[in-house]
Amino acid sequence: MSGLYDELLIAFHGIWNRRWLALATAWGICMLGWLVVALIPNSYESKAKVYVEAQSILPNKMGVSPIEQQQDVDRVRQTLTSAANLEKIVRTTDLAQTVTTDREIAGKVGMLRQKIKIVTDQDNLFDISVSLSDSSLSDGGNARVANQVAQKLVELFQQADILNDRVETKQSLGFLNSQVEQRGRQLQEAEQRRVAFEQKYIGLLPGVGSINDRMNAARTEMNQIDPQLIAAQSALSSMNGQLAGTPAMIAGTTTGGLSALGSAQADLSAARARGWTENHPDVVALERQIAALKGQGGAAASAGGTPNPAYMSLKSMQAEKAATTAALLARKNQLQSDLNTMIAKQIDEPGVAAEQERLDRDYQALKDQYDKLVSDREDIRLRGDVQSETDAVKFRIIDPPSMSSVPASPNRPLLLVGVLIAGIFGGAGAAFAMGQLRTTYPTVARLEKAAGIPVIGAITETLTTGQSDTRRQHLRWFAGGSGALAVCCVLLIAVEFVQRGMA
Amino acid sequence: MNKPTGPLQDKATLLERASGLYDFGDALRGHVAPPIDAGSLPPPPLVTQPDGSPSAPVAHPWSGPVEAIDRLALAEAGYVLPDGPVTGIGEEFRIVKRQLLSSVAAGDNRVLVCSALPGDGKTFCAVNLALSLAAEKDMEVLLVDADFANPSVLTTLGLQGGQGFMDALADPTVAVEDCVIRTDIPGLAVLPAGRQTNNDTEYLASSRMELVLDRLAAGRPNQIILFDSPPLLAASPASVIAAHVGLALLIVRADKTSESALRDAAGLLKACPQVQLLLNGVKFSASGRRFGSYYGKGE
Repeated sequence: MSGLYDELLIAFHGIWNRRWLALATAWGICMLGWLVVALIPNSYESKAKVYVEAQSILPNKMGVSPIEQQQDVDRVRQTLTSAANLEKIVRTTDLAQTVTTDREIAGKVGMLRQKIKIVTDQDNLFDISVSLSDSSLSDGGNARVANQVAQKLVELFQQADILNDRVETKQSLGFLNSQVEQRGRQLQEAEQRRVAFEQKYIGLLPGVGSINDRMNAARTEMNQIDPQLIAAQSALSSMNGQLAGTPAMIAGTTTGGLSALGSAQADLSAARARGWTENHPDVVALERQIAALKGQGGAAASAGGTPNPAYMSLKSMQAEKAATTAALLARKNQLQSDLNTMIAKQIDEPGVAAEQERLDRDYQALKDQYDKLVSDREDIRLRGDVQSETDAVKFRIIDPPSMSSVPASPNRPLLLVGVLIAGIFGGAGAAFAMGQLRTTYPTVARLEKAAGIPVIGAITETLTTGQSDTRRQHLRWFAGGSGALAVCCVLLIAVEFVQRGMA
Repeated sequence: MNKPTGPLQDKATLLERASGLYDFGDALRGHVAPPIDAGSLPPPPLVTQPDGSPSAPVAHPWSGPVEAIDRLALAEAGYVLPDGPVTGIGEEFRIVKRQLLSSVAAGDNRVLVCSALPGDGKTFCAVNLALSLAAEKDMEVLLVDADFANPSVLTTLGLQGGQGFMDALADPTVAVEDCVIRTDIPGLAVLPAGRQTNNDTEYLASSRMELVLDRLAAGRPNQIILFDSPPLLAASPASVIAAHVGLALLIVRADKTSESALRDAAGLLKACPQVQLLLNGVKFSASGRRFGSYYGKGE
């Protein structure tokens, strides 16, 4: 580390030894640099800040994405710096005095286009800056013209922006209208096609949707009907069984005929038991009575039993089941026949299903598009109304075009000082480079290392009074030369400020 | 280089024999330069020779003028005086001196102070080193100004001088010891550059060069000869002298000498058996070395 420090000291020593070279180089660099700085033309800048708020009420409609905002900025910039606009600017500002021919105007237009900068830092803030360094104008003239140009640009900006937005709204409305009309026509055609198709094919099957949907629905229904039918049939047959086992009439508790016959028969039995013969008159009478009663009572007994209520209800249930079965059967048969027809048709014309799907799809797509267009159109119409009725585009000038007597560039004082520093470093660098190119030996160690011959000693420089006087004189001259350089720099800076004060 | 080998071997044996024969203390006592009293010539600062040994090296006494160095100017210019206060730079040169002495102890005690380019501080370092070495108790220094095109040692030290090194090389009749200037600093002698010729390099490469150098070193085993030289990359003499010295001290100026210049200069010093570097003019110290202030604190 100390070696490095020594090396550094030696390097400084080497530079100090060649200080005259360093001073001369510094002077050369400074003179050249200052000349160049003096030759850089002054450019004056005028800045304006403008706030434009568009789409404040319907901010997100019509797709105002960041990209589109950037496009907006570009559009504004290009519009403002169009040749026509710039020419207008050239003709209406003091620049007009400096030009006579069209060619010169074209030249100025080209110059202006490069000098005008329009940037947006935030959403709606536009910075307009014009920096002019026209050699045909004085410094003050440059400043004034820059201001005028900025002023003009702001005016143009104001006009251009509002106009463009309204025109755009109108244009998009027109476009949407034509589109809606066209889509409507297409939609109608599609609808007609669909209706015709349905008339031709779809009436065959009930339900909604495509043929396939309907067929599927029919099949599903049939599948559902089948177990229902079976259930109904089995219920019917069980009902029949029950009915068969149930008597229609209930015998039992009869009055009249049947009891008279019985008593007559009992009486006959009792008479016989008494040993009465057949010829007994009572017996004969009883037999006649019985015979009569039998003829009477037998008929009465057969026609006079009570009907069975269970039988009756079973009978009605059976009838209901039979009806259900019949209905299901009929429905099944109908579906089956429909399906068969449909299948037969499909076999005959295989493209039907596909055709129907296509029609449906076309129709749906057209309808979606149409709906969207219609809603967009309504939005735009609303926005156009908003714009025209409320003057929605707000245009405010935040900073009016500035006018400065201080040139925006170059920053001459800084450059002058920079050149001075560059000169000093350049001089030191030249001295150092010279030291590297022409190797000399400031110390014994260096000499020994370089020569490879033993060095027996070092003698410090001794100066006689005359020599040291001379050296002091030289040092004074050197200080004078260095000081003069700094004074030059300060003087040039002072001149610059005086010029600014006068401009 | 075209260095004659005979005299070198001869010299080496002579040195060996000399160090065998004489004890150092004796020699040192003899070498101490006498305190100067202007006007009167000092007694020859020579070691007393033992009699009757013909093969002993003959120390030629310096017979040049004795001059006082300009201490005020030196101090003003930031040089280190042996009898001056302890300064930071003085301490640094003491460290360099110790290193240098340990390097030359083994072999040849001729040292070349050179650098890649002018202005790196050759003369400054050479003079300072010489002054610092002169302060050694058992050493003497001979500073040779070999920068013939631009001699500056004499002016730096504030000496007059007359004939010099090149005169001795070019003219066989000139005795080199007559050119050596003794100074009022004990142990410090200076050999000026001498006349300017257009054939410096050739004279330096001639066989006489070795003779002259032998003559300067003869009988003085504790003497260090410092050569101040022209820049390596600006003139050729330095690279020739490098062949005659045992150690080349290449001055590197901190923050100034570039890597390529250093490599180039080091390449020109190939003839010298030993090259060492000295970093001069250091302005930056990461380790916090600061000599000179320490002694003041103690007081």
